[in-house]
Amino acid sequence: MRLAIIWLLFAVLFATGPAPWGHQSFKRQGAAGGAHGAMASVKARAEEALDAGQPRDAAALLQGMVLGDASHLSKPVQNDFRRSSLTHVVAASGQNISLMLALALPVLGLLGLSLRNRLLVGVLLVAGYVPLAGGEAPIRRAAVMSLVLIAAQLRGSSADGWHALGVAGVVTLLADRSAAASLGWQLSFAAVAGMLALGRRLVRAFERTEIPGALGEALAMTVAATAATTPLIAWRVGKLSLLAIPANIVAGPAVAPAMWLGMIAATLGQFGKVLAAPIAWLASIPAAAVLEVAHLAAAPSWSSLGWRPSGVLSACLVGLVLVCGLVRLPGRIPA
Amino acid sequence: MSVGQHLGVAHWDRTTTLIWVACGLLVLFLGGRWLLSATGQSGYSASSNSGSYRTNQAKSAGQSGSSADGSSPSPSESGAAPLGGGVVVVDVGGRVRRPGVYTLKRGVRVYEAIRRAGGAISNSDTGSINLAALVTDGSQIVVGKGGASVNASGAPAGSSTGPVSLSTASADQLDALDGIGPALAARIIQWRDSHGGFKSVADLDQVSGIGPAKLAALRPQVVP
Repeated sequence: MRLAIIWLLFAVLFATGPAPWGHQSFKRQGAAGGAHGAMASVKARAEEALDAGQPRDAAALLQGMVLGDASHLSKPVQNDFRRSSLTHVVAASGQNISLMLALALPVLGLLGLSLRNRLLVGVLLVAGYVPLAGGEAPIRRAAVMSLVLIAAQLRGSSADGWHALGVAGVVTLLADRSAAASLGWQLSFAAVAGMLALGRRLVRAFERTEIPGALGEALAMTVAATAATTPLIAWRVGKLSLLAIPANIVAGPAVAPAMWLGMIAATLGQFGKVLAAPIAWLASIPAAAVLEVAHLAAAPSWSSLGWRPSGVLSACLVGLVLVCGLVRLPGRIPA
Repeated sequence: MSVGQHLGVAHWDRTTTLIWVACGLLVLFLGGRWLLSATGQSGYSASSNSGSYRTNQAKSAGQSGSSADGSSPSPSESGAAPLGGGVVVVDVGGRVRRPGVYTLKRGVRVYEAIRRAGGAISNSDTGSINLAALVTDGSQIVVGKGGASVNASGAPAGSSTGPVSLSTASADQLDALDGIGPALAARIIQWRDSHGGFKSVADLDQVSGIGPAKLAALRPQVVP
């Protein structure tokens, strides 16, 4: 019942907001608010820590992954990322927050904090990270969603993804009505919906095979997120990346270590560049792997096709992906 | 979130270990490949570990003769040692898929050189470029977003394609620079319009979104 109300509210906000194909606003500067000065110096130290003299694009990629600012990357590399549909790696989104919590919560556990305290520190980390990563629509969506999930855990109730996603949608749209027009917000929303709908079903399907748990889950989530976002990218950008799924699967194992090492380097960099430099260098190995995957996947001339479906068609395709995951087909496994 | 759960409850059996090891090796292999090729790519300016070709180019344009890092520019960069025989060395840059310095057969045309560099990126405009022109040794071809230019003279690191002027650049020209995206380009133009132009490159500092690090990266690419 509560779930239905949240999603109804979301639907109303979405439908009455600006057209989803409109131009997104540049609300970015105001996002950091009064703490702008302090945040800017934290960010500057993090940027410096990540640039420890590695090849330029590796340092730029780490800055993009950790701080969500892809503009440091050289144009050919940005183009490689677009062609291989890996752009989300350099955008601040749910992946950043879930990887940050996946790193921080066990570390806090090692320090002897109780689950409750760990989660409370997690809330602070999320709240501090959002303005640091640019405070744009996708990261705000991810932050609200993770806070709802953390709150559920604190209350001891089971966390429901759809509930959290609905709340995140409502809150981000209330905060900025133009968020629905931002491609980043749309993609981040569709990716999570895809993972909740199709991803979970694929995980169950993989569980019945020989593929072991962790790998099956990674594959399932990558396929689901890519399937749900590809029609939107085609609609907004006019490009269909044929190698999106393999590129994302191969880049997968490199993204997490690059992000974690980058985050550690950025944190150490607050205390001194010397501490951070070795970690930043180490981080550039998985970062270089991501660059190589993007380069390889972008190289064939057919890897990115010009295709611009209408808004209705692409919405139908996203819907189809979600329906594939949600509708019960007895005895069938959607592939 | 799912990742976190998994780290907590990972079943550490043999298959899982093997998969993690395989993932680690894959990452090392791919990373190593890129790092080696990146070093190779910036090899034509052996002194600089900056992977960006454009930056090297602009540096040598701005500081020719007094190379800051104390090395002499390599022959292909300075054009000082024209190649004899049947080849020309040409620098293809801007909005092509694989910018870089290419050695081509003498007598090739500009369109072939662009194709060799992976072709123009789809929304770039080659209308103002003479695709049929003969490529001469030591020349530079730059494909831009709103047009293209061929610096077909023997002049190295041509001034016509060197640093972008902040006072006159269009949003597209700024967007084409490393470190500037469409949003930042729009803010730079906005600042220029509201503050009566840029008196020095350091003024960029006052545009929101440009800090000391970005300013340093942009310096070689722009002039007031």
